[in-house]
Amino acid sequence: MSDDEVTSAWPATWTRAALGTAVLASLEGGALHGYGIAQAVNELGFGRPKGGSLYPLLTGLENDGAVIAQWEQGQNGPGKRNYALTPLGHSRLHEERRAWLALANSLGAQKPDADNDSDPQGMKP
Amino acid sequence: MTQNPAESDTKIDLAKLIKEFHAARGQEDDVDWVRTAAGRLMLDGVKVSAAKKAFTELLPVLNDAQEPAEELFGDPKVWAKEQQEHWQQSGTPAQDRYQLYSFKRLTQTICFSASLLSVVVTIVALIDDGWTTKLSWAMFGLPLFFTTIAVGLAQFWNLAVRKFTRLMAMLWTAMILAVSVITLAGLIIALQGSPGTASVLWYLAPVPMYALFYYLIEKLAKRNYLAPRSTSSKTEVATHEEWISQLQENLRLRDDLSDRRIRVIIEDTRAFAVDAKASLPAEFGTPESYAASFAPNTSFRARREALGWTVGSVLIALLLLVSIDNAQSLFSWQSVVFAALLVGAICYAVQGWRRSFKN
Repeated sequence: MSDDEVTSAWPATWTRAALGTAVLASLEGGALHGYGIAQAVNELGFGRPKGGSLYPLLTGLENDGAVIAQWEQGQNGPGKRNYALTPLGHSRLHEERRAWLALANSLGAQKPDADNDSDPQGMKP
Repeated sequence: MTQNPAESDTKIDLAKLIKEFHAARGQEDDVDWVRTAAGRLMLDGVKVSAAKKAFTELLPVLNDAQEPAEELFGDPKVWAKEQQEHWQQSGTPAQDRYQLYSFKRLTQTICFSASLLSVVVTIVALIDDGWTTKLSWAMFGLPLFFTTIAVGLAQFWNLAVRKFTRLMAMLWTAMILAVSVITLAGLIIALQGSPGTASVLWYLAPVPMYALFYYLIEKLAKRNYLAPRSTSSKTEVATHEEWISQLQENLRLRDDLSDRRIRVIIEDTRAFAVDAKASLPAEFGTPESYAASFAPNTSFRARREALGWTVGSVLIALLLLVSIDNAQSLFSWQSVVFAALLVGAICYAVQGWRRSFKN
């Protein structure tokens, strides 16, 4: 899918790369059905992913054992599948968060500069 | 049937592409690289057109860099795998399984196979009876009847896997096979008579007729007498249910998803579209691209292939036992053929099971 997000706070390539982590994070608070996950991801600032992007990703996570699907019978309409994090999914989310944070820190940290080191007060012209 | 790319794909000249790879640096290594990568893609059921497009995109890089293809693009098998991942992630339909034959291809395949089988029948008659034999009408007709049934059955199977669940497709095909075998047996009984005793080479007499028919089909196709009459565009998806039906068909054609998984994908898709209050094309794109965007389940495919070869091995083993019993000897030519087939089938079965556990 070329048009992955409906509206997003960040460039599409960034959100596409981090969408798997965002989906795992959206399930941290409890099991959600497909559209619920899309809304939760939207609240994280990623925009609402389209169904065409979300379900292949969820299937991949399910195949990896990171999420598990449970059938929930609907009260008035047809039933829905709820997706929940497995213990493996929790540890994967933890790992991916740590990696993204390390990446963000690496990008945010100012590179040590020879001039700055020798002139910490910024006295040199 | 959503599409039939067979016609356009067969026109693509892969040999020309190989020549262009050779022309880039004049090195055989580059040709070996493209052959290995192309072989891997073909074995994985990738469309010729998709493979050619991917290779064509590499040519300018090879021409500019003037470095070995392996250094530029890496190991050809790894490149082929990555290319398929790229297609999957971008939702590009690149697989080409269970192609439906056009009328031209169907009839020409029958003619070609019947010719080959006529040669086999002649050789068998030569081995069994020598140069002169009591000719049989049934043996004259057998190559044509047999290939018509075999090719027709293959076409039916390719259609059935699109329309039914795998189990139903197998049941329907088995039923058609049973009817075909009974019909074939009936035809052979009806043609019990003999035109007389003569050279076994008379069994080759129908071959020029098959060749002529093949040629006429080719001529008619060139004059567009055999072109499909329908002009409606298959890409236009009219209704919600048609979209779902096309998705189901494309998911089945992937050959790596269980019927249960396909049902789940369909249910999720319907539920999401209802919740999002959006149309299916707006949320999921085309059925082809959506079906192509799921990651391949290679272990499922390997398991299914292994199961098929295992069942095939059991059937061949039974045929081997019957042939030994009939000949009252371990070493008749039939038993040697069945034994060779059995060894091949077992090798494929073992290879399939190993792959299914490795993935």
